[in-house]
Amino acid sequence: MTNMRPPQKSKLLKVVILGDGGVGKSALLTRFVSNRYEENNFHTIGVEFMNKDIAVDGEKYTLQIWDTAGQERFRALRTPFYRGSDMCLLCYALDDRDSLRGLRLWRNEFINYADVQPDRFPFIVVGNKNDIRAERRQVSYEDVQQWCAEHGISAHIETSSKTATNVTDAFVLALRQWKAMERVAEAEQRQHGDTIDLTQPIRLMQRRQCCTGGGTGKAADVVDADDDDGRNTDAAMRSPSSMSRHLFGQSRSSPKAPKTNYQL
Amino acid sequence: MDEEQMWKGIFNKLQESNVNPPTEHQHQLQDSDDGFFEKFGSFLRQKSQLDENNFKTSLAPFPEAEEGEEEETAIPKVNDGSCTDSGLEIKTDDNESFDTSTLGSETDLISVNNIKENVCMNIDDLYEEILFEIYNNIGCESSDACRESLVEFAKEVFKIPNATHLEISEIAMKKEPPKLRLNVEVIKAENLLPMDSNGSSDPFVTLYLESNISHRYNSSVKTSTLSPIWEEHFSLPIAEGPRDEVLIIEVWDFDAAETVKDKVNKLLDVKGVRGLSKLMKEIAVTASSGKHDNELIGRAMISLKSIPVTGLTVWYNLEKGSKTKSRGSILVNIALSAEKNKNVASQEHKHLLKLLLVHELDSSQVAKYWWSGKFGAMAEAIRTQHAVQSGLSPVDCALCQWHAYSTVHETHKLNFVLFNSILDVLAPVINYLQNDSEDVKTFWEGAKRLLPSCFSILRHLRSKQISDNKILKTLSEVLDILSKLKTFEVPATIDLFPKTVYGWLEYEDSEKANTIDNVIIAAINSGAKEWMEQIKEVGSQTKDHDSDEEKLQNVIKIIQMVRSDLQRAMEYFDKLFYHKIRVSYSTTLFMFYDSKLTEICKAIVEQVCSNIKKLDVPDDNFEYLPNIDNVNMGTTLFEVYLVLKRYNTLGQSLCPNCQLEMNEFYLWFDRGVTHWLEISIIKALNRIQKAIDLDQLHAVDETVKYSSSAVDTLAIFYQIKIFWQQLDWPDIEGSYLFVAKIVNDICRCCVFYAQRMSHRVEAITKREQDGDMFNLSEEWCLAINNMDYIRQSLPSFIKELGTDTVIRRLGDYKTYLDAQRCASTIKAVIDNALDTQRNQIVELIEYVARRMSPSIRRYLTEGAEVLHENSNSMERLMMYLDGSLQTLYVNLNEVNFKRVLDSIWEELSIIIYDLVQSNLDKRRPPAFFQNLRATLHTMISSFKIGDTKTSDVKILSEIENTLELHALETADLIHQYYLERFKYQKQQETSPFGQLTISAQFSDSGLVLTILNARNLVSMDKNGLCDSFVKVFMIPNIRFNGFTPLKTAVHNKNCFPLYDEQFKIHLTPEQRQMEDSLILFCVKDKDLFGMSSQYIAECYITFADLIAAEGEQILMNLCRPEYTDSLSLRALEYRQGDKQAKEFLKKLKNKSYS
Repeated sequence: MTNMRPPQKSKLLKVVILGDGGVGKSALLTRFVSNRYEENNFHTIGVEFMNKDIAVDGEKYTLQIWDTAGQERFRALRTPFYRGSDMCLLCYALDDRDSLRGLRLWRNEFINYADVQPDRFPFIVVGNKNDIRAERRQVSYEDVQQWCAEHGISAHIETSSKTATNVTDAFVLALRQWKAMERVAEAEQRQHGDTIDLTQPIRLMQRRQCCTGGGTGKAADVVDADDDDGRNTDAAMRSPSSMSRHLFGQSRSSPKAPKTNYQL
Repeated sequence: MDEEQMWKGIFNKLQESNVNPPTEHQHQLQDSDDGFFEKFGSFLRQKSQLDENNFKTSLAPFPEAEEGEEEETAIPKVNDGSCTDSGLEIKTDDNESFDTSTLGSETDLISVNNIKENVCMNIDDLYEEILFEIYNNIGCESSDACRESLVEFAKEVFKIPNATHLEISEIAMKKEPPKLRLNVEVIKAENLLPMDSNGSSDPFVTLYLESNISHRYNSSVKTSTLSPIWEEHFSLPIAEGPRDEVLIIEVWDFDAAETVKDKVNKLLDVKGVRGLSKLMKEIAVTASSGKHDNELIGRAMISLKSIPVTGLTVWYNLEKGSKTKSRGSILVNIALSAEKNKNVASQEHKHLLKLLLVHELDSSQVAKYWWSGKFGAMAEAIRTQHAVQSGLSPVDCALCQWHAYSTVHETHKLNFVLFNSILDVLAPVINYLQNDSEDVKTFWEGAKRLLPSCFSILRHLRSKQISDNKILKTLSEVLDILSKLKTFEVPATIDLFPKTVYGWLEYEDSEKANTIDNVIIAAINSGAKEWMEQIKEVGSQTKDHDSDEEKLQNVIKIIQMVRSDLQRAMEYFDKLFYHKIRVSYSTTLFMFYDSKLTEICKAIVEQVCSNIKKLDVPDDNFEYLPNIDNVNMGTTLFEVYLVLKRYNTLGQSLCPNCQLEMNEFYLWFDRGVTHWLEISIIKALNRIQKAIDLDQLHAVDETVKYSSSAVDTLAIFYQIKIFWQQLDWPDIEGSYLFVAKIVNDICRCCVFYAQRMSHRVEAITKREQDGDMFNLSEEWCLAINNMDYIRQSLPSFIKELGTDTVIRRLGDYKTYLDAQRCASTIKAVIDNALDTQRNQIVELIEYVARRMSPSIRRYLTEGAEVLHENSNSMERLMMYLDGSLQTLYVNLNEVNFKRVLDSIWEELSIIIYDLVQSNLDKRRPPAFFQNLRATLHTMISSFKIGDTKTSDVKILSEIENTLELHALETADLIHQYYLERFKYQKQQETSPFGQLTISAQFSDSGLVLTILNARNLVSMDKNGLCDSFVKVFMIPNIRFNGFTPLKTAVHNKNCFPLYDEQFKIHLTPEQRQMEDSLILFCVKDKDLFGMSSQYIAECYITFADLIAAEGEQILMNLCRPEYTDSLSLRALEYRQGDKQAKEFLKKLKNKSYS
């Protein structure tokens, strides 16, 4: 199998996590990717990068997540990594009012360096450290809601990396936001349909295809539930010859036949 | 490929390209972005190495053509070869009134009048005094002949008009000759003749003039020595005619007034016979005279004529009588002097010196910094005469010179050697003088006048041409002077550094008086400051509308100048400064430059960095390449970085323990480096695109299987690597971030390369598409190889970037865990890129396979249509595949070749499947499928795929099965169905319909079949029982022509019927041997009326199984015929035109309940 391409292709999305130092960005990432929580506090050095496969609404995605250092002195060094992001998680800590206020700067920095349109870009606001006692809480749900409204961000969520609450949900939320934005863009493009340049791939539609090199085992548990959907979506994007392959795969009746080779 | 070999290969390639002039190809490539990477990478490195070498090799600190630095090279050169030290010219301070431009012919500005004004004494009086001295010259050298010329000379020096001269001359001549004195210093004597009986003497000296014997001067007595040291001074008045006078110096042995008895007592000390006789004589003398009687050891007679006016120190042999025997020698210093008031004399002397010097400078056109104390003969004569006749001691003279020369020095610079030597004379005495004495005051006044020029030398070291070593000499003298002056205590009344003179001196601490030491430092700093301001001005003349580029160039220039200044300081001046005054010159300089340069550079660099415009960096999709025409960041900013870095390294070696402001210079470049990295990825992507466009897709040479763009792309990476190495970012965390960014960028480049490479070959084939056959060319393979080559090079290349080192340092600096996280980040980035690239390779391969597929399909279709024997399309297919695979095999590496095979097989299976499908629809006869199957087998054997255990073998075997089924005649197909049923039956463990037990025995003529019983038969009647019987068929019945089905008796109302019936079936040996023949047992229920029977269930057994279980009871599960979704039934369904098949299916449908 070594010379065969790994079976599953998934959409590749670049995610950037931003926020003041110490709000728990790395903890969130570590919990999400490897389901671990490290009690001891460390500072991210510059940037950190991890991959994670995730299936949402019947589609498989590979999130390429860039975790950045919150310290100011890394500023010039981390901004180059913003480019090409598909979504951005703005993190604050529930026990730190300033960290919520800080998000404005983070958002601006991101918009500036990633060169995106703020109203067309999926930002979500993530409140970390949901596990703290009520009296230590400095940011109320309403505060966040208001902040988000002010900045045109429609999604926010509170998580705890320590207790593993809402961690995956946060990323899924971001992904849904992204999908929503994609749909909007797609619809707009269709509106000006007569001018679509076919030589130019439609950016929002055509995602990179990638496999993360993850083993088949990992991949297998994501596929089954929405097998058909996934296939159809992909098939629609493929060339005609892959269509026939698709039919071929479908028509084979033996349940023992290895799925891997004919599923797209 | 072995990693090491690979890198060697790359290296060699790169070397070649370095050695060989760039090819046309490279030119084109580099032209595309103006050689961006070459500039940044190797080019900059070469440049910096060149710089290094310059600094190391250029021993001449001021190369003639040093641009911009020698702002004072405009100084007029003196054409006279003797005045080579014109370069010593100093730019004078503003507060020095002397104008540099008046050098040369106008030196006579310093006229006597000038001096006159300063002199409180009437010049005429001094002139009279000098004339008087000339007329009364003393010393051996004076003669009447030179007297006249001396008078003439004096007249000239004093610029006395003739009339006045005569007048004064008259007076001077009439004056009484001066009272002279003879100053004698008796220094020491050696090798005196022993006079006492103990072999020693007790010498003392007696001096007197021949004309006055009675007036004797005695020295002290040195006891028991033959080498006495006296060092005693005597001043003998000379009454008249010093020329005829003779000085007599006598050395005596002192004999105390001893009594005879004393002498006799000495007997015991007597040495030898001679001593004894001497003693006896003494005793006799003492006894006879009764008084002391010193004994003359020897005498020297010195005619005063022989004594020069400057005096002399000389050894004289002692003589006595006419005996030639050596009696020892004596060292004396003899000088003549006049009696005069010392203060008046020294004042006169000072003025005289000034006048003489001015005249000297004037008449001989002495260049500045040249005169070192040597007067012309006549001037010297007048000077010495005055000194002697005024009774001035050498120290007095030195002090006068010090004062006079320093005064002249203020207006016309003299050689520092002069002052240094005067200081040598003065140094021993000055500290012993009373602090408030006139002499001390005079001394410090002189020093005060001299010091500014000393500091001026220090401050203007840079403006000298020192290649002729003169400046070093001067500096050495100056530092000597300073170091000597440092040792003296400055009287409180003297303000050594008046503000009016030391305008450049910063009086920060007004309470604390400036010491020479800190003024030295201040002078060094102020010199550096002035120099820096000059070079700053030189560079920033058009400041306002300067572009960033120009500003940066300016910074580079400044730093380089400063650096060469330091280099020079270290090479030439440090040693002097350290040895003379224990000051580390270059360190002092560096400390000064540090803050200044920081100020200048930081502002500019940060400004330039902040001016940098944000770039349109393409995202990971690379859907477009930004226009790079207006992205023009030269190498300058980076050059500044490198220059600063080298400068800082120098500083760290100079001031290892200092907190230098410059140490954090790299922080200013944060933004710049980030920007550069962004540019570099854009440029790299563009360059890769260009490289791919230019790539002819021919192997670079015979030894490798990739083409030019792969090499070009790696070369870009190589340049980025060099840039990174050059950058050598000092901050660890920062360097991790940068390296992460670079790794990410390089990965992106790789992915981009793969993507564009695919496009390129795809474009090639699109062009070729017109011809209906896809030809797999070498280009495809090269494209695949290129991608693979880049991919394989990636990990080792990233290793070359030194990521491991960065991670290790991070581990040391932070924690191991932190380092681990960073390491895994980098690994994740690389893995991602590797995966993506592999996918792109596979995608391309799949694309190739897909392109091949129409041709294959055509051949296959044709091949299957016509009969096997007379069709050549199979051959053509095989040739096509053979050719393609041959190309692939030759050009691809093993892994990719296998990938291609896999892909082709994938395509092939699709094609064949499609063929099968479409031809089934066309109701092709089984022969068609047989043909197809044969074709497949041929291909399998030619692909030799049997050995490989790829998953595709399974698909293949499935296709084969399908083909096999369809190739079967209908009867065989039906039999196939039965076999399937039999297989299914055997898999059942229990049966809801019951079981049947039989046994069988083959005989020669046939088969003896015993139907034993049935159990648990499913009830068919209302009473819950059944009336069963068994019917036996031989299948396929085509093999058993003439066989009538057998039937048992009916067993009523019994679900466990015991049939126990034996049948003899006749079989031919051929029939017997067909082991897949089946016996079908149908268990039926006889209904009440016996009209028809209900079908209960059935079961099968093959001959093979019968043979295996011969003679044993065989228990079989009963089952019911089902219209299953089996392959054979489906195949039958396709044979709609086949009557047999149609009937069979119809029957089966009837039989099965569903």
